[in-house]
Amino acid sequence: MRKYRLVLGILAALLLPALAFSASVNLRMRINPDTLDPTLNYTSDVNFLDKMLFVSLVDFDEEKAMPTPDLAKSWDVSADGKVWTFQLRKDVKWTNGRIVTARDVEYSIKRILDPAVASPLGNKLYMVKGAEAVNTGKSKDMGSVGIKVVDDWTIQFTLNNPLAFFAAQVRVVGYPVPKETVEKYGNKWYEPANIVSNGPYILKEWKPMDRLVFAKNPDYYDAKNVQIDNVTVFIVEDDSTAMSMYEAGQLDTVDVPSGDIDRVNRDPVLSKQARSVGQLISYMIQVNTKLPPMDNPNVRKALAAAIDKESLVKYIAKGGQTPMDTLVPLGCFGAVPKSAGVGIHYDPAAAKEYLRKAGYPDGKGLPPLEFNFNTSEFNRSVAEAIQQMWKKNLGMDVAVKNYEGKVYWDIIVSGKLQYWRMGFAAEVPDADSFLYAIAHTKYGEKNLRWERTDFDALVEKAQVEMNPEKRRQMYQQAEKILVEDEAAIIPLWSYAYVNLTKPSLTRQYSRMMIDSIKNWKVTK
Amino acid sequence: MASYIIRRLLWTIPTLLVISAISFFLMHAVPGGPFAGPDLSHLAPEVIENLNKYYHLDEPVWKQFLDYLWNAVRGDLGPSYLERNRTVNDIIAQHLPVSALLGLCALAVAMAIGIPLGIISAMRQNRAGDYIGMFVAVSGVSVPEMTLGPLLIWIFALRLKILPVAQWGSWQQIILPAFTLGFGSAAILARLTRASMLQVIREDYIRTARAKGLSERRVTVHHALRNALIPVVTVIGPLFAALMTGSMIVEQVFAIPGMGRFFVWSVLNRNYPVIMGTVLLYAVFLIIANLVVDIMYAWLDPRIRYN
Amino acid sequence: MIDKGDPRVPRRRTLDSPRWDAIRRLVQNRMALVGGIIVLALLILAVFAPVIAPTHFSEGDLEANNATPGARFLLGADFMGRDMLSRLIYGARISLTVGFIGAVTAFLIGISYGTISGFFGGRTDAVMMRIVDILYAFPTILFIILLMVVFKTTISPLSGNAFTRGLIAIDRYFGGLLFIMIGIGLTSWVDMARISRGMALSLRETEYIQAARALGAGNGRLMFRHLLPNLIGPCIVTVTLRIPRFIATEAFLSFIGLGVDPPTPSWGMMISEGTKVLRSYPHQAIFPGIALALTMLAFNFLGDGLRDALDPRLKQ
Repeated sequence: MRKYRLVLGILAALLLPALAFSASVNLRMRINPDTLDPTLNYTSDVNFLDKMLFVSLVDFDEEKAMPTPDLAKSWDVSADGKVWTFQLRKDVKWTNGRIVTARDVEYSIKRILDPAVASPLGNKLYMVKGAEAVNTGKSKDMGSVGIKVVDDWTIQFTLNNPLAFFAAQVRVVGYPVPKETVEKYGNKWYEPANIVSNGPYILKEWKPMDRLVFAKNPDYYDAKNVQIDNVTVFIVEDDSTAMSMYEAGQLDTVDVPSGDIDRVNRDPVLSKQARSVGQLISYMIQVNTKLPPMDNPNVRKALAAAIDKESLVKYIAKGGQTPMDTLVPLGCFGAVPKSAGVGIHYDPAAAKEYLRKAGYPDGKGLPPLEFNFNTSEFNRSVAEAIQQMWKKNLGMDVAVKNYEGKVYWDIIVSGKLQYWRMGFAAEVPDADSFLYAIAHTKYGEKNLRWERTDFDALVEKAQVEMNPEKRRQMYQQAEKILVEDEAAIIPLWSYAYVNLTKPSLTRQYSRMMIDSIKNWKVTK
Repeated sequence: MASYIIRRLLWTIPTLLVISAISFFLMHAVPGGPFAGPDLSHLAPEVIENLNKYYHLDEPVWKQFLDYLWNAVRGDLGPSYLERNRTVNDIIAQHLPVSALLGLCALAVAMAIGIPLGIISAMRQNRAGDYIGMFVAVSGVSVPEMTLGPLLIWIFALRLKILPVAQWGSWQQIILPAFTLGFGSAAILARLTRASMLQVIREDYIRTARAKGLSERRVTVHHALRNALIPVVTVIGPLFAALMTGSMIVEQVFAIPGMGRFFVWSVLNRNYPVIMGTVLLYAVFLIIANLVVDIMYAWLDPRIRYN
Repeated sequence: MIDKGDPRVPRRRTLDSPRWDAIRRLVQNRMALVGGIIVLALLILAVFAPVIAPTHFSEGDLEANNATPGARFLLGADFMGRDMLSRLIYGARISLTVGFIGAVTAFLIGISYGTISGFFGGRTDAVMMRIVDILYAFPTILFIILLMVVFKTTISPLSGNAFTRGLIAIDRYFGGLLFIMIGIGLTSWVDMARISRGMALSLRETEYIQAARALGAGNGRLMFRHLLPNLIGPCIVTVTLRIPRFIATEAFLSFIGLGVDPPTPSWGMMISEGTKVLRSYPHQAIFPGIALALTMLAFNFLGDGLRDALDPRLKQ
C-alpha cells in the first residue's frame, strides 16, 4: 500500500511542474532602447519598459483620466494648491532586499535636476520651486529645490504656482532609482548583471538590437495580481517583418502596418483579432506664420479648407483615425466636441474663395510652396495625398520634401520652413499639454512664430483655474483663435492604429503609450 | 615579395587617415547634432550645453578630429552618444561578429550556387544551358534584396512554414537572410566563372590535353577548372568584405542585430563615434581584402613580384 | 605569281575592317541583340511618355486605391489610385536618367582622370593612383549614405546663397534626382579611372603614339585624339555593365528614405512601396520589379555583347 502511494507521489511531483502553466508573452518594439534608466528616458516607445521594471509615485487610470496610487498610497494638497504631500507604501522592495523610502524619491528627483546628469526630463519639474534654477545652472544649491523628506514614508513638493494636475504630471518623473547601485555601476547600472529594480518584472537578458527578456518579480508588492510570468520583447524595426512574425505565431500582439490593414480586414481569422486603438496623439500641420505667403491668414485657411480629412483617413491612413478640425484629441480634458463646430472644415468652394481673397485666384501668382514631413512611409503617403488635394482643389503646385528626424527638428526651429507635418502626444490627457506646450507664444515651442496675446492669456488662466467648466470654456475659445481665426495649425486627425492580438492574450490598450504589461493575462 | 607586402601595409595608414578625415568632416557638415530633435527639445539650453561640453562637441571640428585620432590610435573609439552604457568598442564587439557570420554564410551560398552555374554555362556555351544559367544569374542581380527578402519570408515562413520568419540565433534563422544576401553575389560569381572558363578552354594546353585522349571530365576538372578558378578565387576576398559591409537591408528586413543596421541607425541619429568606428572598420576590411587579392596576384604573376 | 583565282568568278567584297567585324559580332549575339532592343524600347517609352501613358503619373482617384489590374487600370493602381502603367512608363524616364547620367558622370570623370594619370605617368600617376586607391577602400554604401544625408540636409532651406538655391531649383525640376545622380557619379568613377589609366599606360609606349609625338603633336592633342578613341570602347563596356547597379542604388536609397521626392515615380520607389504591401497587393511590387529586372538584364546582355564584340581575341 505504502509503495503505491510513494509511486503516486513521485509521479505527481514529476508531472505537476509540467501541468503548472507558465504564462509567457512575446512582444515587439521598434527601436533599441537607449537606456532603461527611468530618470533618463524620454522616448515614449520605452515607457512600457520603465513600467515593467520600476514603480512610480503614481500610476494613471486612463478610463477615469486620473492618477491612481502606486508607490504613493495617498496624497493631498494644501489649500493654496502649492504644497503636495505624498504618503508612501511601506512594502515596495528593491530586488536587493531594501525597502523603498522617501529618500529614494528625493535622490531621483534631484538626480533629474542635476545638470551634470543632463536628464531630458529636467524641464518637466520646472513647476517645482527652485527646480529651474538648479537645472539650468543658475543655482548650485540642491537644497533650494522645493522637495522635502518629511519622514521615511512621506515626501513633500512645493510648487511655484498652484497646478491642478500635478499628481498626474508626477508620474513621469516619480520613479525612484537605487542610489547605491547607480553610484556603484555608473552608466552601466541598468544592465542585466547589475540592475536593481522594484517593479513587477526583473530584467533577465538584454541583447541590444535583438531582444529583452523579463521574468516576474516575486517580491513585487502586488505580485499576486501579475499573471504573466515571462515577457520577451523582440526589437524589430521593419513593420512587415513584425506582421509576418505575428502571423507565424512568433508574436502575440502587433500593430498592423497601414499597407496590411485591408488584408487583415478581409481575412476571416485576422479580422476577428483586430481592433482600432485610438491614441491621444494629434497629427497636424504647423505653419510658420511669418514666412510669405503663409503670413497671409487667408492662404492658411485656404490650405486648411482644401484638405479632405475624411478621405485621407478612409483611403490612406486606414487605421480608424478620428479626423479633427480642432487640435486637442477627444478624450483629453478640454477637447472641443465636434458639435461645437469650431475649426475650418473641408470645403473646396470655401478654399477657393479664401485663396481668391488672399490675392491668388486659382493659385496664380503664388511663390514656390514646399510642404515638409519627417521621413517615414506613412508620412510620405499622407503628404503625397494632400499634395494631390491641393492641386485638385486649389490649382496649387506644392513641392513635397522630407527630412530625417534629427535634422527635421533643427530646420523647423530655424524658421526656414513654410509649413510642415508634426505629431504631438499628450503626457497628461489635458488640453494644456497641447495648447500651452505647442502654441503659447512665449513659453511654447515658438515654431508657429505667431502672436496672439489673447490666446496666451486664455491658456495661462486655464492652467491655474480650478473650475472645470470654466477651464473648458477657455480652451474652446483658445482653439477657436488657433485653428479657426488664425489657422496657424491645421489639425488633421488624432492617431489611431489597428492592433492584432492573439485570442490567448487579454490586454488593455493605452491611449498614451503607457501600457501596463503587469495587468495583461494569458490563457492557454 | 616581402618588401611589396610591407610597402602596401604601410600605405594603409595614410589611407585610413584620409578616409577618417573625409568621414569626420562630412559627418560634421550635416546639421542636427545628436542632441537635437523634438524629443530632446525640452532639454534646457544649459543642459544641452553641458552635454555638448561633456562630449567635446563645442570645440572646433579640427580639434575634435585630432582628439578622435589620438584616442583611436590608442584603441579607444569613443562613447556612443545615445547609449550611455556602451562604448563604440562594446558595440563593435557585440554586433560585428553577427555581420561577419552573415557575410560568411552568404558567401558560402554565393559560391555554392554561382560557381557550378558558371561552369555549366561555360560547358554548354550558347546552348540552352548557357542561356538558362545566365538568365538565372542575372535575375539574381536584378531582384533587389528589399523585395527578395519579404518574398522568401512569405514563401518559406508563412506559406510552407518550414523556416522561421526573422531574427538571429538558431541555424534555421540564418538560411533565408544568407540566401537573400548571397544570391546577388552568386550571379557575379557565375558570370566570372563562366567568362574565365571560356577563356581557359580556348587555351592551347586544353587542346593538347584533349588531343592526348583524356576524358572530357578529366580535362574539365583537372586542367581547365584549376586555372579558371584562379581569377574567381582572387575575387572571394573583396566579395566577402562587400557582403559583410553591405548587409544593412537584409539585417533590417530580418531583424538581425548586425553592424549594418546599427550604422544606418547611427547616421540617422548622428551618433558620430559609431559612424566613424564603422567606417574605419569597414575600410580596414576592404583594404585587407584588396591587399590579399593583390598579394595573390603578385604571387601568381612573377612580373609584378619583381617590379 | 599571286593566285587570284579564276578571273571569271566575280570577287566578293567583304567588309573586313575591325569596326564592321565588331558590329557584326554584336548583332550575331542574340542575347545582346535582345538587350539592345529592350534598351531602345525603354528610350522610346521615356521620351514619348506623355503621349504613350494613359494618364499623368500624379493623377489619382483615392477611391480607386489599390485597384487590381483590370479594365480601368491595365496594371492596377497604387495606394493613391494612380495608374501603375502610366507610372511605370514615366518611371522609365527616372530610372534611365539615373542610369545614364550616373554613367555619364562616372564615365567623364573616370576617363579623364585615368587618361591624364596614365599618360603622364611617373610622379603624377603615382599620386593620382594613390588617391584612387584610398577612395577605393572607402566603403561605397556608407559613403553614399553619408553623402546623401549631407546633400539633403545642407543644401536645404538652411543654407542661404544663390548657388545652393539654384541647385535646389534644379533638383526640384528633376523631382529630387539631382543629388542622387551626383552621389552615384561621385562614388562610381573610380573603376573607370583605374581601367582607363591601365590602358593609357600601356598605349603610351606604342609606336603609334611615339610616331604622333615625333610628328610634333602636343600632350593635349596626343591624349585627346590618339589615346582617347582607343579607351572609349572598353570604358563604354564597363559603364554599360554598371548601369544596372546605379538603378539598384537608387532603389536602395529610396528604401531608406534618401531617394526621390513625391510624386516622382521612380521604379526604385515603387518597388519599395510595393514591397510593403507585397502580400496584399502583389501587383504593386511585381510590375516595377519586372521592369527593373528587364532593364538590368538588357543592359547586362548589351554590355556583355559589346565586350565580346570588341575583344580581339574572340575574332572568328
